[in-house]
Amino acid sequence: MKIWTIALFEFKRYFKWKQELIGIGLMVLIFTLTSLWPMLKNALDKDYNVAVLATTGSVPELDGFKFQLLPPDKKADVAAGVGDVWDAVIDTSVTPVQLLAEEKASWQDKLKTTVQKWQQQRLISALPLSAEQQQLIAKLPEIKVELLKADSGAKDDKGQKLVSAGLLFLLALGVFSGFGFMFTAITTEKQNRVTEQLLTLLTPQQWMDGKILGISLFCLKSMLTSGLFFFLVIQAFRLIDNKPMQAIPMTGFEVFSALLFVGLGLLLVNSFMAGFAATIDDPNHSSRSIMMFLPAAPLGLAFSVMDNAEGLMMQILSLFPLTSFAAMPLRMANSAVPMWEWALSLLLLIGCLWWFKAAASRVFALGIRMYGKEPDWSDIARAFVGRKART
Amino acid sequence: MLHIEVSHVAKTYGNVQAVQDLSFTIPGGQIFALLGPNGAGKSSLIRMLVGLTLPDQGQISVTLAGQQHSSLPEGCFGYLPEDRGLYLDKTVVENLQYIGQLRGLTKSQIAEQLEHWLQRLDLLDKRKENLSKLSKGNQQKVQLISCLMHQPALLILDEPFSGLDPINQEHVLTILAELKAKGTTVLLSAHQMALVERLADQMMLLNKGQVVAHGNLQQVTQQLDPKVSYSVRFTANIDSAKLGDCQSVRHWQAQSELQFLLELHDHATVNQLLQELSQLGTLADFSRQQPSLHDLYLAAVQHHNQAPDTTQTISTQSISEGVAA
Repeated sequence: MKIWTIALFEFKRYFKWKQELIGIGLMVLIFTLTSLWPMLKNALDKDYNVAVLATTGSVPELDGFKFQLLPPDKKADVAAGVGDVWDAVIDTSVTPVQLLAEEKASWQDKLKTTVQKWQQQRLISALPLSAEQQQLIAKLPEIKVELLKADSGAKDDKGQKLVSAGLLFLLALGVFSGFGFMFTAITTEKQNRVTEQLLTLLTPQQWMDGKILGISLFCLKSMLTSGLFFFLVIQAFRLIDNKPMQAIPMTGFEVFSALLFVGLGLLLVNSFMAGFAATIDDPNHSSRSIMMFLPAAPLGLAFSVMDNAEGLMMQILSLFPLTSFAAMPLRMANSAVPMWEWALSLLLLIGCLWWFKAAASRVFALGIRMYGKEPDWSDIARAFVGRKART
Repeated sequence: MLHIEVSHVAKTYGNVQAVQDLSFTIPGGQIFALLGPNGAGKSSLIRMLVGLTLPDQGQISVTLAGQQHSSLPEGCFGYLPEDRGLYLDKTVVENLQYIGQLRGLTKSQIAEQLEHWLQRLDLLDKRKENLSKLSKGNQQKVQLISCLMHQPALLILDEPFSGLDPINQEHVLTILAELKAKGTTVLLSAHQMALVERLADQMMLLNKGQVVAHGNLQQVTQQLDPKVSYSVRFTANIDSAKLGDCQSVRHWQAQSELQFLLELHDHATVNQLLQELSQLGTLADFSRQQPSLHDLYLAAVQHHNQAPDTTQTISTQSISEGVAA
């Protein structure tokens, strides 16, 4: 009961309706501006007039450009109008094709690429080839992938990459939020001397558990709201581009599993942070503050092997309890994971969390009562392994 | 009522002996004051009593409703620490609600207690203000409410008067007297001797972790061995040089032409003094000068600091025996 009271208090310490609404409003504003930006840009940008000197045929097509086909013998007149009537002139009657403009400008690169493709198509069409032969030259050859084990579960959808990147980003958001909130909460409480009275009402374990629960829930909330917002933004952009809605390429079990691993991971990471933050006396002067970034290491390791989800290293990281909370969701988003590995990983993570929380609470109990000085490394190590501190 | 028995308790921090072999009893329903200079061991003793630290040796036993406990049972006491602190970014009510919930009070109980104490301590209009916006004295009153709202059987207050103006000091005195009348046991540490003198049923003077004096005001005064002096006023001028010839007078000091302050030799009696004085002139007034607790405290601590070892310390055992005798 006390743990829930503390958890709720810690959650509310950072959850403010006003700030939440302002945050959502800002995100909506950014999204609106982003989606309106291309339209605004098109409305403000002028169309470039380009004269195409060619005998016959089609003209290139490119947004923001107006092409006009003119006979090559008008070149002198057209060239006289460059910079005034024409922004550019494409002369196909010479080899190589000439792009004539008044001065160098950034839009010319785009025009050059389009004209290259257009000219290539024209040259192919002029060759004495059948329509089929022309198509063969113009297109890249197709490769059909065939798998011997059709149900191996390998995923190659572009959406998987999106989910992986999204998961990693949200996990980083959760871990760094936890770092910030836990660090601020505990060092401020120590500096404001809140600890003395509360420790006569609570055991250090109760206090730390409540903090970890409340702050982890807040981190999870931040991850979910941010994830949902980015998902909606992606859908909105696809809607604007007249593309079908992007489905989440994960099953319900995979989503549940990701939430489970991430939730347990946040509890693990925040346990470390609570224990360690309690040993810091003055956050502005303590050299130990840098250690609080240590929980970001599992994210870095998972990121480094993300491109080979079936590899041995990813398998190891997804089983090792200090990295599995980051690696397992990524692995599941990219490949099929045997059920026994999933269950083993979960059990190891829960066991590690149980032990780690107890160890961190001993460090918390050691540090939270110290004012004006910090426990030394040997005392922290002794508390971590359950031995009595010397001081 | 709650009764505390402290037996041979000691605590060392590194090379510093914060508390040395202390034994005493805090009777239920009384106000017990711990006195002493900074570093005397008052806060260390209190921190052991509330369970924030454990004694290196000795025992603390608590009797509540006929049952004995090896430490203070949860919820039976309120503690105002020397290092005050609540959440500065939260309002008065949010802070107190949180503490109330942790103490296991229901919402209605919290609301009732808040209404009562905020009104009592003139904080009703500040209930929605963040603690950071309150004065130090008002912050202290909020902290005091957080110790009182669950109506504890024991109140432990470390320096409750520091930071309070004289009006609020009186306010707190009145509240403590009322709590005592209701049977609450109060243990407090303080520097304000005048307040302690008025309030405490029993007091214990500590220095360097040792007991210098212990008992009620009269007993403490006796233990501190004050140099008793007498104020004498004659009806007419006398030959003051003759005061030095009196066998009972060790030292004298003229306060006016007619009035003198006299100190007696250890063996002298008041009767002997009166006989000698009557031979010098007619007495208009004669009174014993009682030194204030403040003076006694200063003298005793100074004396104790100069003592080479702990033999100068008054044994609590002998005090108890002396009081009993």
